[in-house]
Amino acid sequence: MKTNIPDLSQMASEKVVSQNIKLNGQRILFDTKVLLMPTSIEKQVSDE
Amino acid sequence: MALAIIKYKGPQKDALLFHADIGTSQYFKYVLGERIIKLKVGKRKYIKVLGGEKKSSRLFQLKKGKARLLFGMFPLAIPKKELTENYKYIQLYSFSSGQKTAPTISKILRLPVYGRKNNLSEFITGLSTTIPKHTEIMEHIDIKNKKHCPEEPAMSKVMFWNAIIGVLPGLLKQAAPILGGLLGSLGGKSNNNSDATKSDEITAKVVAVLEALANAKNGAAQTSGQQSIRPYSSAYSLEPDTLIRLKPILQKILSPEAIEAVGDDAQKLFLAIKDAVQNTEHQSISNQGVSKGKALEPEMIIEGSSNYSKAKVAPALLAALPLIEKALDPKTIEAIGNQPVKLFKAIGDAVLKMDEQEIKHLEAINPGVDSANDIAKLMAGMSISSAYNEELIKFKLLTDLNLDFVNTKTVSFKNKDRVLYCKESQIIIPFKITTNQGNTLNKTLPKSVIQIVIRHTKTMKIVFRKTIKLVDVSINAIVSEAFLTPQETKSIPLHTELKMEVAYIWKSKSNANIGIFKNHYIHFMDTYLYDRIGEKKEKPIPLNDSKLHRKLWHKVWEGGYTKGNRWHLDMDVKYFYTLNVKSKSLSRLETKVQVTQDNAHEQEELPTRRKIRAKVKSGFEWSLEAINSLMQMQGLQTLSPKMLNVLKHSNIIEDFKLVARQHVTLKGRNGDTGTLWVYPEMAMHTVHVSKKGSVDVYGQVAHLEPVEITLLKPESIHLIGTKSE
Repeated sequence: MKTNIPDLSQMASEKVVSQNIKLNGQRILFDTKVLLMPTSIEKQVSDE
Repeated sequence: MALAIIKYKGPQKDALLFHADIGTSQYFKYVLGERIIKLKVGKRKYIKVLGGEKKSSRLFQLKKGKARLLFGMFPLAIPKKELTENYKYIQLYSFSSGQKTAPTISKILRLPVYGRKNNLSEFITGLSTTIPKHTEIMEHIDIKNKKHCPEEPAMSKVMFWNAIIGVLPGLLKQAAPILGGLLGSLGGKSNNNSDATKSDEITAKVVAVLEALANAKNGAAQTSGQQSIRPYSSAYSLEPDTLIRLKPILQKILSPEAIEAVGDDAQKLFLAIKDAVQNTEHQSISNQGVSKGKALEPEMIIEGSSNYSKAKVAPALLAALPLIEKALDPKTIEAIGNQPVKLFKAIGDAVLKMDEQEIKHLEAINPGVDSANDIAKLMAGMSISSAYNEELIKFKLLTDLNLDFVNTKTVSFKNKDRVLYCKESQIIIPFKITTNQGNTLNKTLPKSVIQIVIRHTKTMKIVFRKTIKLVDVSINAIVSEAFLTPQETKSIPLHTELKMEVAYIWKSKSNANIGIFKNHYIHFMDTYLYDRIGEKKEKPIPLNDSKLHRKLWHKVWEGGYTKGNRWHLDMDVKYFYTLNVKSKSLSRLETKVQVTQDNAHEQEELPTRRKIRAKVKSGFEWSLEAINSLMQMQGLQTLSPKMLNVLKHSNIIEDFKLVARQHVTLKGRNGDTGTLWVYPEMAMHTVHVSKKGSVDVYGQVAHLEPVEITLLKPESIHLIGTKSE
């Protein structure tokens, strides 16, 4: 099974759906690419 | 059986390594080609071979004995010089004889990179996006699940600044008479020496920054009819006169280098002002023992203090600090009413992150009184208490004298000129004592003490303190007895901004402690110093293989909804990346979902289309080891253990606090399920590190040598929504 997911972020969601690309057995509906921005984080995360 | 199988294994120094298997065949060759073409070999049968521009290797023979030993399997290294930008694919041919009989061809394999020249370090950047490889490299990196998602502070720096702008007029109108009395003589008189001129210039810059910020705020208030922070009434807008009052305060308490280090950091500036007020009242005011000027009595100052209306400040502060409204229950807000003292305590709680115990302590020392005197007391009480504080020598501040550091050197890092000490050296902090007019005093102090207190600038926690007892010190010369040994500085944190207060204290004629002090903002380093993450070097690499990069993929949400024929889920997603330098593992952080709207609960009948709106917050924690392993996996130059250690002991985590915000929608029918996945794109960045150069006799680093390394850093994320079928 193909596990390499192409970059679909430039495609309209209708076109993405029509590509019928599967991820973990489910059909991909959208791929949205979001730029990361610097932020302030005050709380430390703790180990579970 | 004759075979022809080729698999990519990874990069080597001068070649790309493949695994080849030709079964019982003894001869083979490989072909590099530009594109794939189909050859018809039967009625409906085709084979794929390479076409366009292509190059075939010579025919190789696997020696008989060796072929049997290896069962036809062997490593195949293709020299990088053969891999030009025109060749995108490779195919293996095997033959049973030297006459190329019984040919067998392999599946065509896409070369790890194409379109680049023969530079291994360059073209390997694209490897992971083309074919899976080296999956075993990240095997040793654990992936954990962690509770709690990071939280951004409720008050951003901008909001903080606005809050301070809001509180300053009231605060300074309360405290200014005290400060003015204390420092009034400083403002109008110039100091002849160059340090004073430099100090003037720098403080003028700081004041200019303050004014610019104040103007920007006022401008915004004029142009925008609506803003999240309500503009203050004109009575409480920042007046230049008020700001100018900061100048002598800054000069009195901070060295020119420290003022430079503070820059436009509102929080640091606020703490510096707080210290000024704290020292003023707490240590009182005195000029006794040195000159004949009349000491100002606190009572006199208070009587001549503010004429501002407290009633207007309270609502203004509340408007400026929505955090206070959130943090305090309505009864507390009601109790605060229009008392600035209590409000300031609330600000202290929110901004300075005081703990409950300290607030109780403050309540105990401030039983609801409300005057300038109590403001100062309150501020004095706001210092972070510790056992160390109890041991500090208290003294009355002499207003007519100045303590100035001499022979101070700065080096540029983190975009500023800073005082940097070498931990392995003996540190000497020479200073001179002058009058406000810049003159020295012909006086010998039979007994005196130097008190050095080093605090963390953010928490104000004391990290080091020392007193040095001196006898017969002539204060008309430079005092060079303030020192720290390498043994003493061992426990002081490296690569962290620290506030060093040097106080010089002696006894007055009435046997009271009197003295002067000044603050430096300093750093300590050993051999290397992390500076900053610099420019992006390459195109980002999408880690888009859900199997190969599985550890870096995160299933943020999975689910579905009933109670309706269809469901429609609108998600406001906030996704964080952080770095944990203390861990070697990767960690997926818990997803928190807060449903803000659900029409299934808004009406008695079930909706045809169920609409849900939710806030989704999740994240991922990186480790430097994992990033290093990823770089190895990508065939990139990895961090050496030495550099890994430098970064681990730096504040690089500040540059790895990242967030992505996005609105996404998932839809489905009753019974459908959906998922939301996240994977990152990483970009190579230059990391600027400095190596210790020369160190002067005072232990100050006088020169830094720039060192550049590279590191992968998350650039963006892909949010992928899926639905069951």
